[in-house]
Amino acid sequence: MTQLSRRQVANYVACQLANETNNVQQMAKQVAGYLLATKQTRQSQLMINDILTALKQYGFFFASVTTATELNNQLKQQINIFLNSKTDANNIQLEHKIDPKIKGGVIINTADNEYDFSLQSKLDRLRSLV
Amino acid sequence: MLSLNEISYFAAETSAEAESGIGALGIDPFAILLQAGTFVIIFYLVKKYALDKISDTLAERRQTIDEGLSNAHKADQRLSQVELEAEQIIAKAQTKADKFVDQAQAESNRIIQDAEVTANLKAEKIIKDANHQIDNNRQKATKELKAEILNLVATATESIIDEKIDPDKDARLIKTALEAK
Repeated sequence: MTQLSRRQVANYVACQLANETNNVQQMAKQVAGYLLATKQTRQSQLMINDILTALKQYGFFFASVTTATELNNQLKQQINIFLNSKTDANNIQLEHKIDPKIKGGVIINTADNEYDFSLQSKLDRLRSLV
Repeated sequence: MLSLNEISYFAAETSAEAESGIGALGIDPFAILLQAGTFVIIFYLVKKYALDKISDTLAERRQTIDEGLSNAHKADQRLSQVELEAEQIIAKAQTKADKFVDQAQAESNRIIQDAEVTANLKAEKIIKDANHQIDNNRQKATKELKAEILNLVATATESIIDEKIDPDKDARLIKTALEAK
């Protein structure tokens, strides 16, 4: 079996997802099978990041949003505007998680960036000055 | 040779005859002549047997005395010369001593000055080190105080956030953070 680079695989998967040739679950299985076959399971997170980065070429942008409380629609819209200003992506998809440990604020993780506006990180930065 | 008695007799005869001439004046020519002869004989004997020796002895004494005087004179001259040399030596020694004293004084002054300079430098260094140590201690204390304050602020802020944060405040916080960026 010919060994493809991780970036090549990521581009292929992104193309398939963008054109909706295959659904997400099918592509996930294929990618998982490929990683197992090539013994690259340790690089699964890197593969995901590469796929998310490749999807930006097709106008898709995925972000993980973590807050301490529920997000209302107005805030989601605000986060979309923020990410749009950073990426110029049209189709932004958010994955929201609630984590009380961040105490307040928001953490936005993208494939290649992290925007941490949480209170916990501010407290950590304050303590790091000690 | 006439014996002594005959001479006495002859003298008495002569004296008896003389009383009629010069003897009337109390002068006895024979006695004078006899005394003169005696004197000549004694003089001859003395000259022959004693005078030369005495003269030689006196000459030797004189020579000895002259030599002694000469030696004394020489000794005086030598003494004067020695005294002069001694004075010169003493003067030189005094000059050298003065020079040594001056050098010693200069050296002691230099040592004192060096010691003063060294002492001043050491004192300055001690003061500088002490100031440096004080600054270090002050900075350390300030840093520790700042760390303590920051820790207290962080802890207090965390407690306040745990008690006071609610969804509305959190939403305002998120909105403010996103708009600021």
